[in-house]
Amino acid sequence: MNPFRKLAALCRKEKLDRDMAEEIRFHLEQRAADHVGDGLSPDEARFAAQRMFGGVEQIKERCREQRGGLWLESVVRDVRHGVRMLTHSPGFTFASVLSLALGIGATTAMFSILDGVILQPLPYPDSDRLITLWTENRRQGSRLTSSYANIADWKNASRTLQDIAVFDPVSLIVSGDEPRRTSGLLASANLSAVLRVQPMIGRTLTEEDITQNAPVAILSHAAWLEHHGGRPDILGRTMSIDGRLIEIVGVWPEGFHFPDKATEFWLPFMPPSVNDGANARGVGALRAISRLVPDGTLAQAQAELATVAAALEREHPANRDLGVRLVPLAEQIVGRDLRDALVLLLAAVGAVLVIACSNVGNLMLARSLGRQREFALRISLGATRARLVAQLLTENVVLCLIAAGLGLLLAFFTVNAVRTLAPPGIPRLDETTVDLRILAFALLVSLASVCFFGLAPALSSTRRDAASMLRNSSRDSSEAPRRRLRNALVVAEFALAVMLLAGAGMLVRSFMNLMAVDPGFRTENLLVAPLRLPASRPAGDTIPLATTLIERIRALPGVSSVALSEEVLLGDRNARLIVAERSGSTDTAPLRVPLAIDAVTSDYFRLMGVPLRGGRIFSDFDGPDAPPVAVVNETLARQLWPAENPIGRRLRLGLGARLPWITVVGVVADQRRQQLDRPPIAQIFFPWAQNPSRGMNLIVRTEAEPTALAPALRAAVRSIDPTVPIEAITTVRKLLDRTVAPRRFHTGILAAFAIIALLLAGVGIFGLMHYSVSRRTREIGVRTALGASAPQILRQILAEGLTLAGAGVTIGLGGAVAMSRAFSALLYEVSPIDPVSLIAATLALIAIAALASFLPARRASRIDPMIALRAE
Amino acid sequence: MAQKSGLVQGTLDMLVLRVLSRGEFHGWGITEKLEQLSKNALRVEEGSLYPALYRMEDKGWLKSEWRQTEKGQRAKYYSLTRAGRKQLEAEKESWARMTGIIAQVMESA
Repeated sequence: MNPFRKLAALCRKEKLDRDMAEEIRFHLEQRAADHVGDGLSPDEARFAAQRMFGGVEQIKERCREQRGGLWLESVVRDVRHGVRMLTHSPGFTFASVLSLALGIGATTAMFSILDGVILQPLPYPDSDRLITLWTENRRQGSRLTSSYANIADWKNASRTLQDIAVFDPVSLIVSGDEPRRTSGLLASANLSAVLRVQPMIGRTLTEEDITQNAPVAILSHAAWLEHHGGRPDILGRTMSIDGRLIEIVGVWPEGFHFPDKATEFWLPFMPPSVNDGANARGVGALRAISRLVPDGTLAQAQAELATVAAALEREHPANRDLGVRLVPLAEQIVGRDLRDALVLLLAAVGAVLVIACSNVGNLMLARSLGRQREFALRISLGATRARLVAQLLTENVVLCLIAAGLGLLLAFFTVNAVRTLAPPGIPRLDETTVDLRILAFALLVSLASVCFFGLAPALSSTRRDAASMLRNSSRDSSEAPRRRLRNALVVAEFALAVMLLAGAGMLVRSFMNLMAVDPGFRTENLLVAPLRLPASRPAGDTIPLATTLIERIRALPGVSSVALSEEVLLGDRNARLIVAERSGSTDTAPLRVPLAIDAVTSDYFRLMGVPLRGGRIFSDFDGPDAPPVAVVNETLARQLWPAENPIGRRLRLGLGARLPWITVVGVVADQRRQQLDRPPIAQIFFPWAQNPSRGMNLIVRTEAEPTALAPALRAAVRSIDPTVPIEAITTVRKLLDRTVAPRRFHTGILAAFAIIALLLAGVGIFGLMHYSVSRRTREIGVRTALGASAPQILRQILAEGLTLAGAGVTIGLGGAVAMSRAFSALLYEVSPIDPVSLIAATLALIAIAALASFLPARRASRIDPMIALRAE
Repeated sequence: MAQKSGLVQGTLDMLVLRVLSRGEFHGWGITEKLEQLSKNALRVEEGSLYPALYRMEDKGWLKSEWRQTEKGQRAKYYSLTRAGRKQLEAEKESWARMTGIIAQVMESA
C-alpha cells in the first residue's frame, strides 16, 4: 500500500472503524436470522450467533492490525495515549522529566566542554606525535625553559625525534595611529616543518632569514583579517613592530595558530652568536618542540635524551641538577590541574546522570506495578503483547524526548554560561559548542535505562494470566524482588550523592582556605596600569617618562600614592644562579634559586603594605650612578644567609667575574605574588632608577573605588606621551581573583552538581517511600486496627527510609575518601578524609532522607483502618 | 449440521478469492457460499475471515463497496481486483502442484 493511501486510511480511521462495526453487526444479524429459521427464539438466536462468532472486540482488533497504515495510526494513537498518561500523573512526569533533563543536559554540556578542551585534536597534522622539550630541575621537579646550546646538543644526539625546532613567545609593540601591544613568536626556520604547516599565501621563514635576522614576519590569519581587512596584496607591506620596519612575507592558513590564538606574528629567531661562557648552558629562555619519528615512542625519546642530558651535566657546571623532560604538546597545552579538574567534573556529571536514571527507573518500576491492571485489561480485550510493548516504548520515547528537549536547552545555557563565566586561562574553551552527538548519546543512555526499568516489569506482567491479574491486582507475588531492586537503586543514589557532596565540600573548604590566605600585601584599592615604552624610543627616555608619570598621577584627585613595578603578579620563575658573600668564607659556589626579580620605586613597599623586617628601603640616593643595592625578601635571605644578618651582604646574579656586586640594604616580609596557593617565592628588588625597563606597571593606591580613576589615569598618560600604549587597566584584586578563577570555577560547578544530586536523591527516596506506603495501605490499616499507634507507624516508615539512606551514605563515604585521594591535587590544606566535609555531607543526606520520608510516613500514620480495609 | 472440518493452513485466502471469482459477496455471503460449495463440509471461522478480508483488501487483491442487499439492508460487498485474479491463478497453480506432490508421496509405497 502506498504511503498516500496509508495516510488516507489514517484520516478515515473513524469511518473505517464504524464500517467494521456495521459489517460485523450485519454478519451477526444474518447468522441470527439463520438460527431463527432453524427454530430458535430471537434472543437465543442472537446469543448463539455471538457465541459462534467469538470475541467481537478481539476480532476487530485483529482486523485493525491487517489494515494499512496501522503502524502509523498506532504510533499517533500511542503518542496521544502516552501524552495523556503523562498528564494524568503530573508528579511522576515532572519528577522523571526533570531528572532526565538534568542528567541529559549536564552530561551533554560537560562532555562538550571536555571534548573541546581535551579530546579534540590540535590544529596540526598528526598532533599527537608533537612533543615539547623542557629542561627539568631534578631536585625541584620543576619544568623550565632551555638554553640554545643544550637544545642544539639534544638535536644532534636524538634519533627518535625528527627535528627539534626552537621558539620563544614574546611581547611586541605595533606602532601606528594607536600603538598596541601584541604577542609574537620568535621561531626557528624549521618550526613550520615540524608543525607541518604551509602559509596560505607567501612563504614561511627560511634559514637565510634566521642568519641575517631579516626584518620579515608571517601574519596569523586572524590578524590578517582583523588588522588588514584580509587584503590580498598584504605581501611586501611593512609594519612598524618594536621600532623596526618589518615586511610581511606570508599569512598562515585559517584555523592555524601556534602556540596560541593570540600570537599575531612569527619573526625569525636569532640564535645567540657568541658562546658567552656559563650563560650559554643551563636554564635558558627557549622552548623546543619536535615530532616523534614514525615508529618512535615518547619513552624511547625520553630515555635517549636523558643520556644526552646526563653527559651535558657532567661536562658543563651550569647544567648541574638539570635533566630533560618530554611532554606531549596536547598535555602541555591543557595542563594537569585542568585535566584533573575536568575529569573530576566529568565523573560528577556521570554520577548525576546515573542518579537521574535510577530515579526515573525507580519511578518507572513503581508505576509499572500500578499499571499491571491496565495491561491485563487490555490483553483481555485483545491487545497483543507487541502492541503493548509498542505503546510503552512510545510513552517512554515521548518522555525522553521532552526531557532531551529541556536537556538540550539546559546544555546550551550551561555551555554559554561556562564560556562567559569561566576563567580566561582555559585553552580552546572559546571553540567549544554543544555537541549534538553527545546529546544523542545521553538521550540513548536515558532511553535505554527508562526502557529497561519501564518495559521489563510491564512485560513480565503480560506474561502472566490476565484473568488472575485482574482479580489480584494488589497481591503480587513478584513484589519482593522488585522491591529489592528499587531499594538498591535508592541506596546507589545516596552513595553517589554523598560522594559528590563530600567532594564538593572539600573543594569549597579548599577554596575558603585559599581565600583566607594572607597574600602578604594589602589588595584593596589598588589600580594597575601596564605601560610600555615603544622600542623605537631610546631607553634613556624611560626614567624621565616614569618620573613625569608618577608626578602627574600623584597629583590626580583621589590618589594616595603611586609606585612602579615591573610585574604585579608573577608567573613561573626560572632558577637563577646566585653567588653570595658570606662572612668568614671565601666559598663562592653559586646557589640555584628560583627567583623573582623586580625593579620598584621606593614607594612600592609602603604602597603595597609590605612590612620592612630589617635595614632600609630604597631612597632617592639609590640613583643610576650610586652603588647597586637590593632589598630581598625573607625567603631569599633565609636561603642565602641562613645563619647571618643579610643586611650589608653582597651578591652577584650569575657567574660572570665582571658582574657587579650588589649590596643588600633591606629585608622585607614575604608576599604570595605568584598565586595564593603557592608558597612565597624568593624575591629580590632593585631600585627602579638603577634598573629601568621598558615594560612597567603603574600601581596606584586610591582613596575610594579604584576603577573610577581609570579614565583620569588614561588621560594623564595620553597627555604626557600619546605613543605609549596602555593595555587594560585593572585592579590588583582582579588579578588575584584571576589566579583563583579556575578553582572557583570547578568548585562552583561541582557544588552545583552536588546540590542537584542531593535534590535528586531526595526525590528518589520520596518517590520510593510514597509508593511503598500507598501499596501497603491495607497492611498499615490492619496494624492500626490491631492497636499500632500513629507515632509507631510514623516511626517505622521513617526508619525504613533512613535505613536505606544510611546504607547508601555508608557505602558512599568509602567512595568519597577514595575519590578525594585521587583528586588530592585539587585540595588546598584539606585532608582527603576531611571530617567536616564527610560529616556535613552525611548530615545533609540524612536530613533530606528524613524530610523526604516524613511526608509519606505522616500519610501512613493517618490511614483510617476502616477506610483502608474497605479500600481493596 | 454435518461435521465441519477446519481449513488447511493458508488456504483461506485462496478459498475466499475463489468464491469472489464468481461474483460480489458480503462477508456473511462468503461464509454461506463456502459452506454451500463444500456441501457443508467446511466451516469458516469469522475470527479468521474478517481479518483475512481486511488483509487482502490492504494488499489490493480485493475491493469493497457498501450497497443495499436484496432485502434493503446495507452491506459491504467484496469483489476481486485484477491483482486478486492473478493471485487466485497463482494460488490455484501452487495448490495443484502441492496436492500433486503430496498425493505422490502418500501413494508411493
